[in-house]
This record gives sequence, structure tokens and C-alpha cells, in this order.
Amino acid sequence: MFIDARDLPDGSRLETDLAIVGAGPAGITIARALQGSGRDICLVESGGLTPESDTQALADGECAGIDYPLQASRVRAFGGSSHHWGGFCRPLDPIDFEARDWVPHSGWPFGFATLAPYYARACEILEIAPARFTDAAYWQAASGDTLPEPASGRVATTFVQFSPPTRFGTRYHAVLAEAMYIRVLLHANVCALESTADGRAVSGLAIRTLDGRRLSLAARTVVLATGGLENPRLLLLSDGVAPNGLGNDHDRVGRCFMEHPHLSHFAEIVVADLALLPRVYREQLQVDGRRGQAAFHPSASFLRQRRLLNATFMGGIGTTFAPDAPADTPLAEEQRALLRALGPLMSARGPAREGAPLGHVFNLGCACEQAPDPDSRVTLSTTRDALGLRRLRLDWRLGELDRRSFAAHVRALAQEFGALGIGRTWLDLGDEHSWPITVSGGNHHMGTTRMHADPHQGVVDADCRVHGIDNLYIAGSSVFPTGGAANPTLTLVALALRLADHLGARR
Amino acid sequence: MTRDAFQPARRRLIGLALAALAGVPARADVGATAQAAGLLDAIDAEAAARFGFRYLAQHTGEARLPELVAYLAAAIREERATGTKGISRLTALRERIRHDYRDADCVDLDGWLLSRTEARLCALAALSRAA
Repeated sequence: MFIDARDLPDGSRLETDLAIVGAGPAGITIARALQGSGRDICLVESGGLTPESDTQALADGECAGIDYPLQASRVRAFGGSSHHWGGFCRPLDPIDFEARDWVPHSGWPFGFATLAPYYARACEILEIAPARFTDAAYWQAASGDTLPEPASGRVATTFVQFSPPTRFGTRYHAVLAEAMYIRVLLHANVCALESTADGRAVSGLAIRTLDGRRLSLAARTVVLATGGLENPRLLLLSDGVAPNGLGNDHDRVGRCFMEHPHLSHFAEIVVADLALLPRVYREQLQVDGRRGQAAFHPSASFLRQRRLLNATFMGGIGTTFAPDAPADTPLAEEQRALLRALGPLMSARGPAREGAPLGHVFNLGCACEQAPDPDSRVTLSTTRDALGLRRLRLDWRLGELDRRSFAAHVRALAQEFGALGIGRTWLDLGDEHSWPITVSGGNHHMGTTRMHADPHQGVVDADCRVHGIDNLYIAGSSVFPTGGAANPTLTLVALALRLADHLGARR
Repeated sequence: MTRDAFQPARRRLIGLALAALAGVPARADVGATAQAAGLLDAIDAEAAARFGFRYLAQHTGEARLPELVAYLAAAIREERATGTKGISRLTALRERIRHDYRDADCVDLDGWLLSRTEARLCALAALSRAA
């Protein structure tokens, strides 16, 4: 059932067994997973069914570090940020879960194997099942191309699969509308979590609408699922009993904000013979009704040996050089010269047929892992939003290890392309130890309520329960202790399913 | 180097390479010159020289045609000895270059990451043109 909070009388008091704050992929997944569990569930959403500018403005804030699009990088509406999701799906790599002595604060409380069954279920929810993320034989058979074996041991192939993408607000609207014991409360902005006097439990939510209504929702259990920026903000705003905010006894809330720095135009690979670069590396292929594309990532052994962070590279053909056309830029002239000079050493096909292209340029994009840094953080600003709540203030920082890892991986990939005979790489890495001010992220907000068994090092425990609070849980990528280099949606949906299992067993 | 700055940099490097060559006695014997021509058969030597001058500007001690010829000939012999028997010179070079990349034996030439062997082949093209 859908209810618009603006239709309820001012001062209304509601009750529920389980309040889920935020109707994005994590919140909707938990509600659906617990449907039929005998609980009354209330899904509390700030926005309406589609994005609205006045609600969206509540997402604004200020940036203290690297400039960041706080409003544009998330959506406050039913379905959450799946409204603008690109659909990239790939699980984290097993090494991403490990405590790596060269990555400060790394290590999940559990390994890949714990999450594996939930990944399988998440693939169904995101409409990519059965997923084939590492099955090269499958993609080889499906594409009809022979895929190259890794040559250097430094780089491996993985396969990104693309969700349609699943827009949670439309895909799962009907099932939630018909669910007997699920209420979806729209236009309901949670202003604070109310807790018991000792701060050991949450008693409910203080809710306001933009037209001035004040409501309350009493709940036996609360799950915060408002994303990696808003989850810490709500905890910090909830300072009625705990002056530093709920779950913040050890000053961990909001710290270790991580993104996946996204880069392009750092390398161009000239390829003499496209037959050496199978199609699945260059474009998305439609196989069995699903889309997928090969990506490159560093091997675990290379990461260990060189003590680097993870990364994912994907690319596509940007330019094809006609044999006699003039070069239109100095770089194109260079690339044409290199193809003329060394083309025969790249391709074993012999002389090109008359009129065949001189070669091609394969352009790369990269998403990098960022190491957790307690000083990269979300705090509260002194400015206030339309509800009178303190806005968030983001101080996103990137470090030397992040940059050095990126540069090392680009070089390793260039060497791999040479070792496979595919092409030669021109690099434009700039300063390999510091980041350009123009670096951007992927709208991936991670780490701000990180998971750790020790309350001094994390906000939630391995069950995603806030340390020291019996009935408050957090869902979403804010609980990631480290973020790997895979887009977070698949992992956060898998974690939401795991949390739903935990809540289901807890009755 | 940025993607818009090739022309001045190339002129500078070619100047450096020619300066390096000026200090080297012209000792290219007839046999080495003939061997160099054979090694350069398979590639566009004029285009390769562009990259070869840059390599020589970085590695002035290698601006000696007979030694480059000897290095490349030895690389081919090694590939023929350890790899597929009876492979052509071009195939042997191609294999050696792949091994360079695999072993990270590479050089950076104005942004291009090239294998040491192919960079030396380019250097040979540059020396042949200069000679």
C-alpha cells in the first residue's frame, strides 16, 4: 500500500514492526525479502514516485575537499538512485574482502564465500541472472571469438554484466502496492531517529513533510537505507540523547568516505589488427537476453606483489584510421606513424588488403579503488535545508596510494596489450603521485558507516547492526569497509538480502 | 608530454639524437649496414626513425649501428633457439617483443610505452637514415 504523508493529519502517530528508511535498491530489497514474514513493514521515502526538485534540493550540501555533485549524484524518490543507475554489475573480487597490510583499515568481517549465495540472488533482482562474471568459456562460446590467455600474469579478464537497468521504483512498484503488510510512506522526510533514554535502542522516527506536517513512526526495528551520504547524516542529526549522534561513541560515523575515482583520456592503444582484440572487449554483447562486456583488472598476485589497490578498465574503439587520410591532430599523426612503423610487428596477418584501415584506437576508461582514509569524511554543515536540518558537508580526499596504484595498473595493462600482440599504448598519466583537481567519482558513496567487529573501528558489526544499539541496522554501500573497484549496486543488494535473512531469523 | 605537444618535443628530441650521433665515430661497416637493411625489411623504416631518434636521445651510448645490429641479431637467434624452430626473422622479432612486454622490459618514448627490442629496431632505422 502506498500512502502520501502529506495526506495524513499533522501530528499523526504511526506504528510498525520494521521501519526501513529509504526506498532505494537496498530498502526495497529488504522489504520484498521480508514480505510474508508476518511483520508489519513501513518503507519511509523522502520523495514521491518520481524525482521532484524541492525534495531533490534536500540532498544539497557543501564540499570541503574535492568538488562533488552532492545533489546530482543521488536521487530522493521511490526507487532511489536506481532512477539514474547505469546498470553496471560485477561482484567484488575475493581479495577485496581481505585485510591487506598495505591498505590501511582494510578487511571485511567475512570473505567472498559468505556473500556468494547472496550475489546469486541479487543477480535475479537486478535481472542479470544467471550471471557469468568470470566464465570466459561462456563468453568465448557466445561470441564465437577466441579470447586471449593472460600473458604477463599482471592483468586478468573479468566480465561486467549490465542490468536493463532495473529501475526499482517501476519494476517493484506493483508488488509493494499489493503487499498486505507493507506500507510505503511517500514524501516523508526522516529528520531524526528517536532513541530510548539510555541510547541503547531506537524507538522510532521523527518525520516531517515539506508542507509542514510533523509525524512520528514508532518501530521495533529500524533499518537505515538512505545511501552513503545520507545514512551518516541521519545518525549525526540524531543527537537528542547522544550528543555526537547515534552510533558515534567512537567518532567513526561519516569517516572513510570512499568513491571509485573514474578516469578517462589517460591512455590510447593503437591496434593494427582488430581480430586480435575480440569484440567482447570492445563493445557490449547481447547474449541470452543479457548484455555483457569484458573488462580488465589486476590479478590478485600482482596486487599482493606490488602492494596496490584494485582497479577495473573497460574500453571501446574510438577512431579508425583510413589508410591515406590526413591526421587531424598531432596525436593522431603520432598514432598513424606508429602503426606504419610497427604495425607488421603487431599483426601476424601479413600485408593489409588494399584500402584496409591502417589501424584503430582503443580508448580506455578506469574505475579505481580508493583506500579508506578517516579524514575523507561526511560531517554536518552549519547551513540548513528547507526542513531546518543541518546540511551535510563532504570532505572527499584521495591519497598517494590511490594514485600510484592507478598509474601502475595503466602501465601493466599497456604491457599486457604488448605481450598479447594487440597494440601499443600511448600514456598521459600526468603526475603519478597526486590527483588532478578535475577527478570525478561514479556516484558511488561508500564507507561512511563502515562494518567492523570492533566498535572503535567501525559503525556497524558483521550483521550490519549499529554497535551499541540493539535494534538499529544499516543497509547500503555505506557499510563497505573497502570498496574494491566494482560498481557497488550488486554488492549492496547482496548485503541487503543478507541483512534481511538476519532480521528474519531475529524475530 | 600532453596530447597537444608532440611537434616541439619531437624537434627537440631529434636535435638531441643528432647531437649524440655527432659525437659518435662513423664506424658502420658495410656488413652491418647490409644486416641493418635486412632487419628493417619488414617495417616502415622512415616512420620507425621518428621513434628511433627519441630512443637515441635517451640512450646516447647505443648510437652505434653495428652494436644495435648485433643485439637484434642475437635476439632473433635466441628466439629461434628457445622458441619454434625455423621461424622467420620477423616472427622471431615479434616473439621477442612480446617477451619484452611480458617481462616489463620497456621504455617510455614521449608517452609511448614500447618494448626495448622494438625501440632498438626503431633506433636502427634512425641510424640507418642518419648514415
